[in-house]
Amino acid sequence: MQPHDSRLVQLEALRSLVAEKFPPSPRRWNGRLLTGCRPFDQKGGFLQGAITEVCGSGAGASLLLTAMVDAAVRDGFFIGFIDAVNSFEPSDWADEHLRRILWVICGATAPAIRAADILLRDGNLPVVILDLQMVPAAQLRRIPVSTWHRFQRVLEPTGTVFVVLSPQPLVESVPVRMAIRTDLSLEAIHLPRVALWEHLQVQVFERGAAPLEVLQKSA
Amino acid sequence: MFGCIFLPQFQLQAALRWHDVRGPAVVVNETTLKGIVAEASEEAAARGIVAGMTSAQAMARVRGLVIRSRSPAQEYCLNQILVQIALALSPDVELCCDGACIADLRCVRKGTCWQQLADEQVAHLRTHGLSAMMGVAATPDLAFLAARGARPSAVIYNPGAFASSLPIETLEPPDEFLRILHGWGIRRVGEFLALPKMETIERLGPTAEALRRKVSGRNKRLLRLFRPVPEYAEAFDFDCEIETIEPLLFLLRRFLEGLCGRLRTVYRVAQRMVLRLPLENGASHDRNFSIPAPTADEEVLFRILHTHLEDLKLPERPIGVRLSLQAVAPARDQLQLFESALRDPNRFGETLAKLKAFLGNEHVGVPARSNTHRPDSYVLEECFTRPKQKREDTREAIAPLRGLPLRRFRPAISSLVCVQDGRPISLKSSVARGAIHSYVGPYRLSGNWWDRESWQQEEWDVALAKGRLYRLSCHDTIWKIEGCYET
Repeated sequence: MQPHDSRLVQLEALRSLVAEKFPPSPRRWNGRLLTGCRPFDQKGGFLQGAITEVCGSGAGASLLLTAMVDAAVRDGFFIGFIDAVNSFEPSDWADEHLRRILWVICGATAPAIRAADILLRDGNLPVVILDLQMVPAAQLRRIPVSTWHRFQRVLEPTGTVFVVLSPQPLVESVPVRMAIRTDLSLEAIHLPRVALWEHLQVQVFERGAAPLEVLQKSA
Repeated sequence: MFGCIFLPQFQLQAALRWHDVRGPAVVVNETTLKGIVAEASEEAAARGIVAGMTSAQAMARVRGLVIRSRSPAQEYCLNQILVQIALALSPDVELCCDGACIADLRCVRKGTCWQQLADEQVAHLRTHGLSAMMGVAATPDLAFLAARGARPSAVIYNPGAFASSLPIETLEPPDEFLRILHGWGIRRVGEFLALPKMETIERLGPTAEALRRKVSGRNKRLLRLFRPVPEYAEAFDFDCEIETIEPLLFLLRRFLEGLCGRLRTVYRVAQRMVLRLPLENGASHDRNFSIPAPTADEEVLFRILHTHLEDLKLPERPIGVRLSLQAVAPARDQLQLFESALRDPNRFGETLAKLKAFLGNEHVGVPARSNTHRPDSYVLEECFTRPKQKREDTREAIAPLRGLPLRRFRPAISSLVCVQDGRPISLKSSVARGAIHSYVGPYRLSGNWWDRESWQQEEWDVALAKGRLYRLSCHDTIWKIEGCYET
């Protein structure tokens, strides 16, 4: 028993030593995460180490989450999903997808922001999604602007992809903002989810390219 | 050869463990009202305190005497430690009495220096805060005798010479037998062995034979093998209730140092920690911690406990603490040396603990579907399991997802729905109102009809103007909006 186990312990010690001497580098996707969902990939995917705000259609945000989880299953990573109003429905997902999601149920905006802060500082999860889609506008306006600047500073060294899903433009000076529109009818409820990606219309605005008012109209 | 590890003043050591006691101390047996002294420290013994005195008599003799009750939980822990250390020497171990363990060293590599081996074991036990003695001899009984007289270790190469110098009391003969020997003027084992063997046995019976065997260098009796259930646990009961976490953290760190040392001795790592805090009202606070990357590093385990205790609010004050570790063999699956599913699994474990402390245990986890068709049924599993080897056919194995994911309102929102010919035609609620342009349904669901938990409802997916899509449910003519697909 012992000689073999002692080798395992030595291996574990060696692994710890290597991890200590050479800290693991952030997951590399050449700076951008491509999910496999064409409308998003055509626009360049999601930036690592930066905030990406996705605003507009709620169905579009749900389809984006599908694309992210598909990528997680494909590449073998985990996603942190911070659910500000507890609206995620697990029965609409396959077990294989659910196993890739860390679901953080917050119930309000302030705990959601704090949970995002904790997860981003940890830096273990390569993708963190903050879902504010169903949060009332009055609550969204109460989030201090400095929060997003702080998140940006935390994100830069970690290489985490941080996506904020919001009903309207919210994050000021965000590096990349995507506005999604969909034209889905009731038939969409029965179509394969991958086929619904084709109904997404994504518009990308780089930092400072479009003022919030323009976006509010487009979204 | 056989080795015996012996903890002198076993009950006292157990009772004083984790206490910083200086000066004379005794441990009392509280089975009687008066409290009988079971064992006394050397300092207390030097001042005339002996086992069998009442605690009042002991206190009358020594001012400032520390009196502790026996601690069966600690005695159990000490025996576990002792056996575990003995098992690291040999698979054949006998726990001959509380605080004494004999190991068969015949399987130890040839050429081993017995003196060095014994010194190492004594030093090892000292790291656990225990004072130990070890004896090595040709037979189990001689090893036991050697351990009891060792300071702190002894190796017996000449059993005859060693036994001759021992007082006859060390063989623990019956009182009547001892009285006879004293009457003959026999005080040492050597004097007893010098008596003619057959005649002594004829006069004193089989007891004399048994005593002679004890000190004979040729009596290699079989060990009564002890096979313990591996258990890594520590416990402590406070003298009075505690109100801050500092003493708790201090104790937990000491516990972890000892437990992790024991794990490393047997090449194991901790996969799960169980913390129990008994409260003054009789209830207890229990918490299970899964260790994302099983480890025997006390710093990592302590950080997890610290994070949990930092934000912990208890309804009553704790009166004790119990900590146990579940040990497993180290991971056998080799990921890439520079790569793992999580960059730092144990740091991630701490982050999860922080999130759980902040949001509650039931609000953080990996979602999983429940084994029912009842709407809005799910469970949250504790944390990520170690990912299995990546399969090439992963995508083929997963059925493609269909339809838009629902965003559920929790709780569902009451709604007024106008119905015509059995189908909804308009909707009025706090989140949506208007004419229903199209619908799909009804989907009738029911379950648990065989018990009191039976449920049934029908669901409709409806579209309002401007492409807004909702799910409605109806049960006993009460309509609710369950969620939305698009708003």
